[in-house]
Amino acid sequence: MTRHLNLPGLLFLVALAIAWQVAATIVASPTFPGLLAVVGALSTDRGTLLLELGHTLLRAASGFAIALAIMLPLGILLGRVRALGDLVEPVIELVRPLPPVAVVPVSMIFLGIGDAAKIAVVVYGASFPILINTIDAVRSLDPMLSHVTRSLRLTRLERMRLVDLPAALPRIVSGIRLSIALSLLLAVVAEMLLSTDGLGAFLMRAQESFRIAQVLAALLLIALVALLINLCTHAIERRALAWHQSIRAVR
Amino acid sequence: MTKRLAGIVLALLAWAGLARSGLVPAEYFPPPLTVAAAGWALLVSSDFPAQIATTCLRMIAGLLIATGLGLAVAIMTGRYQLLYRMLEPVVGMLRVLPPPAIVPISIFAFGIGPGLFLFIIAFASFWPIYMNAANALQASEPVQLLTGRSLGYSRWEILLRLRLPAALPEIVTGIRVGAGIALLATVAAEMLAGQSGLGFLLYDAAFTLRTADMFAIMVVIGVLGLLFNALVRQASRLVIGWHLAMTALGGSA
Repeated sequence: MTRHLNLPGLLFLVALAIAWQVAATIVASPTFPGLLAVVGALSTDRGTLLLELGHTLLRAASGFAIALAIMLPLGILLGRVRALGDLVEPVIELVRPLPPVAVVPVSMIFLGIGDAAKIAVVVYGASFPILINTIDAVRSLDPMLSHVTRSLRLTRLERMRLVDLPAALPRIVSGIRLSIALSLLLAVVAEMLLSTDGLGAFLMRAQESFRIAQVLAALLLIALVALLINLCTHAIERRALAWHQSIRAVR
Repeated sequence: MTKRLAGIVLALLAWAGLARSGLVPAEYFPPPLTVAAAGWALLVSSDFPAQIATTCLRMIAGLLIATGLGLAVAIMTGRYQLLYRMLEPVVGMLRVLPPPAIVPISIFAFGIGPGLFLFIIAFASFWPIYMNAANALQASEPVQLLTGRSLGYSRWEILLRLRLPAALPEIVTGIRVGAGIALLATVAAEMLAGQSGLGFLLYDAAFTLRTADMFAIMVVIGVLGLLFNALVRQASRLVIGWHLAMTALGGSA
């Protein structure tokens, strides 16, 4: 759990940054901005960028939250009730190979180009990792657990909430992590295609008006935010699953 | 098998029922038979099969490039620990970028042409392939290393003859994840920058409100995804069949 400072890695990152800047200074072309120009664009446009980032994150977060709220209980239900799961699973398998990006046009036709259309795309894409992982996780639980719940005379609902959910949590969490990354991706793509606002739309506008430094600034911002989200989910995951790992260690 | 069919038939009936019920405007949400007819008309048209081929070629070429590069870099980082550490932060930053977001900057770099698509698709599928391979090569069994050393293997021999085969199952997993992302990236790039390919046709159909065509193209993309999955799975069976047989995971993989 100790985090070593990765000195060679940091040095290489700095070296790349310097090399980039030097190359850009030598070429001195408007189509090849250096790191300083990108950081400059990041700071002059920070108002707009932060506003657009807010739009993007809000869409990604609300889509993800809706997907989680629907798919987690549904996944436990489908994992627990065999007959239902067997009926629905082939349909999921049939729809899943379609990349969620391909749903953007459908969303546009039904919902226009507003928030609803973009959030719907996020919900659709973010649903699959959660649903599939939850079904699998609940199905592969130790059968002993279900004997225990029966001897404790738990109702079906209690059993799903008190036993199935926590026991399946580690696998569910890996689905959630996938789904968070996908939410950000889909929010950006939906904004790029149905451009009104958000970082995706900012990227497209900057590209259409040949402001390359701004394109790179937006990319840098997206990468930083995605890294931050990664760090947060890891921290939450470690906290939420601390009991689980300790149990495994004792065994 | 009957249960599987039952689910699919029920879903199709629900689709047909919803489309005919009038709850959703029929021109937005055509029933399955209309979509099937539109799909058939597309498939026998002169241009459409060529567009399918374009998309497939882009996707497969991009995935092959990503696999070659990803494995080559992973083998180098497996051999030289310092390189692995050096690349770690850069990799960490680049792999979190949503691949479609690099479309605008790639248009500056490559223009709208074959290079653009190859770059975006290879960029998207490179990360899972490299990450899985590099991490699997980092973790190796001490016993294997000691065995190799006592057999007089050089460091390269240990890497290529012991650690690489041991890492193959995870490498294959990475390639399978990469293949899924390759399809997503292909469709996204074609929608954003395309003048050809299924992604472009899909977007075009939606904008011109040819909804039956739109759903038919979605079905075609989905079927491509299924076929592509099956292809990669068969290929991985060939490579790691021995592993699947040993761990008895063959059925579920």
